[in-house]
Amino acid sequence: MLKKLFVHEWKDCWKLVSLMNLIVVLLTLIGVVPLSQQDFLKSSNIIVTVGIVLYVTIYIIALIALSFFVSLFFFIRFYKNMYTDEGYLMHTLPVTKAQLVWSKALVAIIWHLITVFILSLSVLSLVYAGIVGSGETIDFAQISSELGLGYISTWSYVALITVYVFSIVVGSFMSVFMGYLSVSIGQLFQKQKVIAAIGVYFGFNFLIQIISNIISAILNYSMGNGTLYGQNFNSAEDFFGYTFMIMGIMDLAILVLAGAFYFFTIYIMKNKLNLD
Amino acid sequence: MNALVECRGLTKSYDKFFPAVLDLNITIERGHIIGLLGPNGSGKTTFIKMLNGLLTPTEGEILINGMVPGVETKKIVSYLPERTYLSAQKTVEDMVNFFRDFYEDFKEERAYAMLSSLGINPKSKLKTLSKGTKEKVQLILVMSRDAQLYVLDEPIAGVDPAARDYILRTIITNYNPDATLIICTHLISDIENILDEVIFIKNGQLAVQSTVEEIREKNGKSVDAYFREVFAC
Repeated sequence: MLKKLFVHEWKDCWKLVSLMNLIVVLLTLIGVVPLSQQDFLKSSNIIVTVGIVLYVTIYIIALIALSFFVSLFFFIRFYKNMYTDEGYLMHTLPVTKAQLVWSKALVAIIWHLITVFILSLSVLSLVYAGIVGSGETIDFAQISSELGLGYISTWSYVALITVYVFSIVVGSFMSVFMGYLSVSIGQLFQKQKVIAAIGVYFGFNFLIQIISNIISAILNYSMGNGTLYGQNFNSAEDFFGYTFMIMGIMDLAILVLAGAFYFFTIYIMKNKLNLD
Repeated sequence: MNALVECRGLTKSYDKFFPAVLDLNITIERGHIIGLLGPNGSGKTTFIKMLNGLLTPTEGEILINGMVPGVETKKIVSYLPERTYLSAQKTVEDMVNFFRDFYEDFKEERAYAMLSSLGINPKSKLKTLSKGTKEKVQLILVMSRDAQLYVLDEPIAGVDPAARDYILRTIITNYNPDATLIICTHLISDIENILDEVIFIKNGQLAVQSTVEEIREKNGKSVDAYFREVFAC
């Protein structure tokens, strides 16, 4: 049944979210072509300058809009599908509450990851095109040397990217389940359910910010030297080891939170469902 | 034991002072058409929601085929709520496919036959249909299942009298005779002729549970007239 729920959820969502991502892809392509031309950014032509300003403005708005849209779209869909009239159908299907939540969460998380990938690729493509156009090259060894880290092995880069991707995946789980729990708590109110859900969501964000600051502070002082990156790293391995440890602890905390958000969402659905 | 639905001491309180359903004890047998009747706010919809697992009882229990409402009971209960639960963005065909995928007892050909007899195009988007047509689509979907228990909450409230006749005919001709059908409505006179039994709920409690025949014989009144007597203001 989870597979069937997932397939129906995917069919209901893919068109709109794809369209939004496609807009960013097209905007990126529009930017990459001229940027990669020799000395395009150094042009003194007024039309080119105005064009660049206009493009950058539209591009930034599109990036922000896409990030907001994807989160908002899946939270609104969860609310509509679970707690408005459509909930009368969804909650009378012969499926478990966990299957209902997971089918929606998996689709939302996959689209979150696709969107992060497209956004990252888009920014990197434009930066790379700009560098190519200016005729310069990126010397990672030199950057590393300037940072005082010395030689950085390929494996260190691979590990860093892996840990970074893992953090994004874990963060997507937490973000989706936090939204679902906020919506679920919001529907417990007799009136103004949406406003209540938004309030709860901001409350959770505030709470997470405090928790993350506490963890950072603890790590800071347990590692000595007062500030997080105020240490003297002798090598790239030291730097990466330290970074991985901090990210690992943060990811673990995020996973625990995601689990708690999921658990309470299921609890509310099972015991406190309050369809109008 | 032929009971399909059993409620024992069923209570649901939304707040401390006014329980919506209070100590309800009902046994519903198989193969009957039952009218669940009561004035507004009497607890009918709360009872129906508990039957469908949409609400958890505060006290007592409700059993369907010996099971508490859950995945297994939802396989055998076909529920028509009083509101439209169809997603406006989907087509009628999408909804037929949705029901086919999730309900093993759903009869696709029966659904298409009913849609055809009503002249409803399966390719139509639901947002383009009138409220009455959407209600008909919903009823067709619900009645295209070979369920053991059909629970219809106000199935004829939002449609014109001609459509009511069609809907009642649809209900009678499509429900599995071994199944039980619970119809909750205010339009008693419209459905009286098809009922075997009635359950009156007053202030969340059972007021009357009787066969239609008994009501007519004992009281010399129609169900509609008897309802007006029991719930006279």
